[in-house]
This record gives sequence, C-alpha cells and structure tokens, in this order.
Amino acid sequence: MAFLALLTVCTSCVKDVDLDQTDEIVLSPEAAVDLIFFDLVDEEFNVVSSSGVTAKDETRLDFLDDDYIQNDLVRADFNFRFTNTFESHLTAIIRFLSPANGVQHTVLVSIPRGSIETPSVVDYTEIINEAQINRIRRSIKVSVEVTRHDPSAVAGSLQLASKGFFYFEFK
Amino acid sequence: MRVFFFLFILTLSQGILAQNKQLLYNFDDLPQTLLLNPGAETNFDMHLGLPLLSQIHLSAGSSGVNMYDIFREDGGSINDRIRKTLHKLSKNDFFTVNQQLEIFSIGWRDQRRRYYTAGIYQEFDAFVYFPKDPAVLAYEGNKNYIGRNFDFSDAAFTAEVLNVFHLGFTNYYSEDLNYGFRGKIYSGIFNAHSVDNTGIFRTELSPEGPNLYRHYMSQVDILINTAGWDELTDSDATNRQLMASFLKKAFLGGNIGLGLDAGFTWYPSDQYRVTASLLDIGFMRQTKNVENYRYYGDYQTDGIELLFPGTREYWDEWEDNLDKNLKDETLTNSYTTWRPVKFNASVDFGFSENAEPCNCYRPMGRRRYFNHLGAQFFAVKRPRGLNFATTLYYDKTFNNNFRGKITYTADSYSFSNIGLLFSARLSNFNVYLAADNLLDYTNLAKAQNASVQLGVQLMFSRE
Repeated sequence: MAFLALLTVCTSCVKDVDLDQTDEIVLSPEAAVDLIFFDLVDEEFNVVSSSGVTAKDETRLDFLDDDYIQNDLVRADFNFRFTNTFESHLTAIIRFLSPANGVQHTVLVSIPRGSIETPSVVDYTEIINEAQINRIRRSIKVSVEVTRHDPSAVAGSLQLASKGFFYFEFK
Repeated sequence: MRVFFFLFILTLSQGILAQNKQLLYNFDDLPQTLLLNPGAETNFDMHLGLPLLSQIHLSAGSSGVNMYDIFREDGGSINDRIRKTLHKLSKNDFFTVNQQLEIFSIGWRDQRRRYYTAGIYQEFDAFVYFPKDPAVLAYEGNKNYIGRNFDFSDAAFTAEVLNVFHLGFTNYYSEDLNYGFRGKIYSGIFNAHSVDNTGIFRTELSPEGPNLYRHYMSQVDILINTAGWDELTDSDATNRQLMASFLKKAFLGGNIGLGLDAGFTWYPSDQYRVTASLLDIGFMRQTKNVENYRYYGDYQTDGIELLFPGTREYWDEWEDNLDKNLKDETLTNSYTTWRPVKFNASVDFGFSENAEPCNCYRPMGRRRYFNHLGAQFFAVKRPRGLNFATTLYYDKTFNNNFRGKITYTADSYSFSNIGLLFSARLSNFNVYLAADNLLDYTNLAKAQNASVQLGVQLMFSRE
C-alpha cells in the first residue's frame, strides 16, 4: 500500500526530465599507459643482411584481447620515442600481430644517425582511428625489428620509450 | 555499463538523513514515537499494530545531486551534465536508502503507569559515499590526470537487511521525568560493509625512468565484507530455497546482534518539555555465510622491457609480478559491524491548555496543551562521522480525533524541507500519514530527499 502510494506520488510529480536520455549515456574514459621500452646495444643486432644488421624481439600484450578492448575501444594513439646514439641511420618496424602472427598493422620509423654526445631523438605518434581500430582488436602481440644500416657503427645504443592513449566509449 | 550508471544515478537522485523521523518524534499520540524515544510519554494505555501495516517507512536521498541535475530537458548533453556533476560532488557526498516495515507491534501500560512495548520490524539500510576518485578514473580515465593521485579510500559503503526483535519499557520516575530503555536483538539477513579502504593509483611522467610514464598502486588495501551475499548470487538456488533461507535468517537463524535504545522526557515546568534519545547502540557479529573480498599490495610498473633476443615470456613475467604484488583474496573471516547510532534531542513549549480531565493511569500530573512549538536536533553516526539535521515544529491537537504536525528541517544540504503529519483516531482505530519535503512534491525530480511514513493500528485507553 505504502509502495503504491509512494509510487503514485513519485510518478505523478516528476517533471521537466527525460529519462530516455539514458540511451545517450556514454562513458568515454581515456587511458594513458606505458607500453614497451628497451635499450638496444650492438651485441643484440644478430641478423646480418644486405641492408645492415638487425635486432628483433616481440611480446604478447594479452590485454588487447580483453572485452573492453574488443567491444569499447574506439581509438588508440601509440607514441614512440627513440633516442639514437649510434653513428648510423636506423629503421624501426613495429608490427601488431594476430595470434597466428598475421600482421595487422605496421609502424615504420626512420631514425637519423646520432652520436653519444648528440643523440638523435625521434618522437613519433601513430593514430589508429575508429575505421582502423579493428587492426588493434585483432592483435595480441607486438614485434619490434630494428635495422642498423651501418654495421660498423658499433658504439652507442638505441633506446625506445613508448606509451599508448586508449580512447573508449562504453555504452 | 550504461544500465549500471543509470541505476547509480537514480540512487543518487533521492534524500539525505534517511533515518531522521522528525515528524514522528515527540508525537505522543502514536506508539511509533516510542521507537524514536523509549522514554517518551504516550497518550494511550495499550496499542496493537496491524501486522505489516502499523508502520511503513520509506526514505531515500542524496546529499549532492538530484534527478533534475542529470535528466533535465534543456537540449544539452546528458554526458556533459554527468561530467559536471561528477566534479561537483565530493567524496563526502552520500546516497542513502532506508526502509522499515513493522511486522508486529504491541504495547501496554501497567498499574504503575509504566508502558511496555514489544515488536518486530524489518529494516533495510544502505549508505554509500560518493567514490569520487574511482568514479573520475572510471568516467574520464587517467590521461588528463598525469601526476594526480586517485584515492581508493573515497570508496566506502554499508548496506544491510535485518529483522529487529525488541522489548522495551518507559518508566514513570516522577511527575517530571520519564525514562525508558529498549533491548534489541538483530537478526541479520544480508550485510555488506566496506569502509577504511586505502590505496592510491597514480600515473606520473618518468623523465629519469626507462619509459615515458610510471604507474603506481601504493598501499592498496580494499576490503569488502559480506554476509549472505553468496546465497544471493548462488545461481543453483531456487526461489523457494532462497525464500526459506531468508525467513530462517530473518527469525534468528542467521547472524545475530544486540542493541539498546535509551531516552528520557523531562518537564522543567508544565509548559516546557525536554527530550533526548540514543538509538541503536549495538552491533552485529557476522559469522555465517561470510565472504570477504580483499585486494591489497604495492606495485609500480614502467611497462614491458624487451631484452633482445626474444626468448622470454615478457607478458607472463609482467603479469606474474603484478599478481605477486597486488593480491586478490576471497576469505571467510567473521567480522563485526556497528549499527548506525542515532541521537535525538528536543525542547518544546506547550500553549493553549487542554482542560479536559486527566487520565490517572498515565504519567500526566501536569497541565496539558493543544499546541506545541519545538526544536529538535538529530544526528546519525556514519562511517566518516556524524550527519546532522535540525527541525522546528508545530504540533497541534485539533480534537480528540485529529492531530497534526508541521516541520521545517534544515541540514547541510537542504534548507527547504517542510514536512506534514496527520493522525486520525476513530474509536480505537488509528491511521497516520507523514511525509516530508512537501515543497519538492510539485516536482520530485528536483528533490534531494523524500520520505514517507504511514500506518494503521489499534489503540486503547482506560478512561
């Protein structure tokens, strides 16, 4: 009886509001997270080719398979900052890979030669927009391949620091 | 996610001091006043509540936001309004719901003018502080808050469903003083309790570190105690089994607690009345169907370091390290909860003398008045301290059958709470209805709190 009375009072006296707006509620958090980093020296370039010496590595990023990425991620910005003290030009290729190692997205960054006294710094941002976001959703791994085009420039190192901005829309 | 947020906002959209029953306090024509002050004086010699109908109480409230703030029709974006509200609210804003249902109630006066009461009522009480930092983190993320702490201690809540078995008396100590006590046995049906959480999440720039950011989870210790939750979430239990379990727990088959109410009424003179009461000085020991969910530890990360060549399981190592430092446990440790203690105090002034003959069975050897003007103070203990309310009231007896009371209540959040109580007695049958925040009833969307009490009962006098 009380509940009905209260319900009657409440529903008859709620004005100037539109509860259908619940359909429009979108939670849109923006997450900033660290990704991979490394400090690459000459000994780790262990593949020789005509274009120079190459170092390769990869890691799984299992969170890319989580529901919030699969269902609600709408954009991702990946920022890579390379600091090169090799006196050689370098090329870095970052690939996003599916569980079967299929390449979903590739980022290619050319890094000018630097020196220990004057490092060469490249700050590169790759924006994956909503039309491309399935590339990230299909990925579970990221691989890094760095080629040093002058194998004789052994002194120095290549450092990578990286971060990702993930934009979500939870509806 | 959106449904969850909608329910959250709806919960936010109603009431404040949900356990303040300023309309019933000092209303000596109703036995329910004894539940608010066991030392109250009463104008009847016996009462018998109609089972499940003698008191139905519903109230809900929020200290910082109402439905209109979120859902108003102004052509703007609801998401902008939510964001604005999110930043307007503080961690000390709260949302509360309280419901009571008197299952059984009886009272009688003995030859020495003492009044005894006994009864059972069911209560649901939920109190949730606005989890400001976790809410901002969930709604906006950390990208625009680099270098800022997100404090998990903002999250605190209590919720319980219980039956209360009570037995009390009001003693006529002298012509000027009544005092009373009520003993209570709490029979717990459900409890959830999470206060005193600690920990911060922080993302900061890391110019000296190996990566661009460093993420911290520091001194994290989040504990949610529950009793009865496992049964609610048991998907194998049938409705019949659930109901049988609830009934068993409702009637002393579950977790048990003890409590005490105390109060007095003092007449410094015929026209002045001073009252005070302390309610629910008590605790519950949660030992059955207990589950504690704990998340604790310290952790910081710079991301994943690649070591070239790629022979190591970097992700697994990162995740193992995370799990080793931030632990997630489900335990079954008993715990104790304290009931929210309530304090009432009042002073009032009577005028327009009632010259009808006195009933000599009652402690009323003094002049009586048709009208009372008074002030009442209310406080309730919540996890982060006391919440207060102050009420001014005018109580008028129209005749032997009708009496009313109007209240104005102010607290930290509202200065426009007008309440009205009307009680009618036809022979031995009494019905009453009380509601507050009447000014907001023209548009409840703008109300931050609302409550209603109503009931029917039989009352008898010896005269």
